[in-house]
Amino acid sequence: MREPGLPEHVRHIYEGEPDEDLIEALEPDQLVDAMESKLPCRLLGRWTRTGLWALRVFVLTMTGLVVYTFVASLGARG
Amino acid sequence: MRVRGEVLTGEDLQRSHDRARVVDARHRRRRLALWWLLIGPGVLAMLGENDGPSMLSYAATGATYGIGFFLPFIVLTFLAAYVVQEMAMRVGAVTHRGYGELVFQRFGRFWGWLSAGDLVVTNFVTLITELIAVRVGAAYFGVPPLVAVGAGVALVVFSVAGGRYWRWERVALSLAGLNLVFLVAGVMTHPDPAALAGAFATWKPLPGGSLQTFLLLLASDIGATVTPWMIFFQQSAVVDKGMTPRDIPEGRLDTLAGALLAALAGCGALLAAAVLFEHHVDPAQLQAGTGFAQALQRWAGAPVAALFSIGLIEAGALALLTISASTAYAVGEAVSGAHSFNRRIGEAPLFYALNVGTAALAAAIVLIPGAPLLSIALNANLLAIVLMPAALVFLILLASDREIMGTQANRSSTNLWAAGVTGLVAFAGSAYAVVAFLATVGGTR
Repeated sequence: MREPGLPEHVRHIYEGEPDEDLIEALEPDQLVDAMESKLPCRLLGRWTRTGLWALRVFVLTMTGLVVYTFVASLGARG
Repeated sequence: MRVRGEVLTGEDLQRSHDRARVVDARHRRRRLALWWLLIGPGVLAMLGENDGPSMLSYAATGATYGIGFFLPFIVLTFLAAYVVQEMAMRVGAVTHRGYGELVFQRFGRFWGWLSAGDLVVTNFVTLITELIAVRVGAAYFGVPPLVAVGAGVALVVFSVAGGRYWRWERVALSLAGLNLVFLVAGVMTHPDPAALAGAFATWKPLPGGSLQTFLLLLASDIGATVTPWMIFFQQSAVVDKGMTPRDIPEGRLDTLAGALLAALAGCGALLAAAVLFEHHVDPAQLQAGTGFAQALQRWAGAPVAALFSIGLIEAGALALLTISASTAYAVGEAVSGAHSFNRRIGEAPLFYALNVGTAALAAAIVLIPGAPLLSIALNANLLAIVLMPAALVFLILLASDREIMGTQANRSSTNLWAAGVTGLVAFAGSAYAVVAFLATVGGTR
């Protein structure tokens, strides 16, 4: 049943009109099919690549320190 | 199912219902309704991070140093969190992809797996600490550990039932407001207005005592506001909610509101525990969390202790929901599986199994007698903090990437702020990691 008081652009919300109307509320690149497509790998400059290597070293060193501290604290408990 | 040449899933249909309401509210210029519809990911990320360990960290800071440097510092850390989370929200709204997904696709498998692996481990350990918070808070009211922890897991099950993002978000939001009981508890301790004004105006008195304690609390308070799971969570939630570039202004408001509410609650926890500093209570006796309620009951009264305990239950319970969700999103993105609350359980079994399974496994560990929970919790937080700079660097690179962000890419001023936050987090995390490492080496020799 159609309610005459409702503006056209919102009828589907209240009257359960077909999915075609509802789906217009989504952007095309928001559909699951589009979101599942892969983006290409980013091309990185030399400085960025160097920075990411430095970051890799930082992260692995810090992780090593924390893991050692944790294991040592467990050993101290035992 | 196909509509107008597009392949549509149930997830698309569920999301389109929510988006239709947003389109309608915007069309009718109903600003309040629009904000109500779009509020969620920002508030949940910020208040979700005001979790059990974070509130105990603020309380430990208040009990150690009283009102002073750390009060404005908490507000500063939430401004830093705003800078970070605004980027995550914007990247999600523009690219319609989660953070983990984008790191995999744009920077390769090493960083993708490192980010996801780090998140899964630190999130799991954090879930243990959330359940400890629930257990400790409930213990104040005489609730047995099994019942308290079981109720936490049941809440996760209840929140995910329904196959709808909107429902999950509203369940979580209804809990989030309770975080402000910490502010009420803080006000009920009647803090000296002159001391409050002095702290915000001058950042004094400065913390004294041992450098290691200062660095621990500094790192903990930063780790209590800026963490990797928040980035993963908010960006994925923005995508799941269906936000678009048009929603970015409301997304900013959502994130800012979350930051302000979380800062208020964090300051409240510090103020409540500052009473213990005034009465020279030894903070070392309160570190495990169980001692705060008892100490507050003695020095601030039973109502403040009860509010603090309710706050701990809420903080742990909300973080259980948001952190399990961030794990499920991250793993779903890493393995390219379905990762949305808008899917039915049968359509996204891994997503739902991770949501509930990680919480249930954490609960089982919490109930093991004699498990080294405090040590696990402290080191998990530390690991999250030292790995945060990497997460921030990738977020900045993604948000500045004009290929995927177009006109919504970071401006130079945003990059400058973000670099400042990254530097602060890297300094605090690595300084404490090195000092703790040296102390351990010295102690075990």
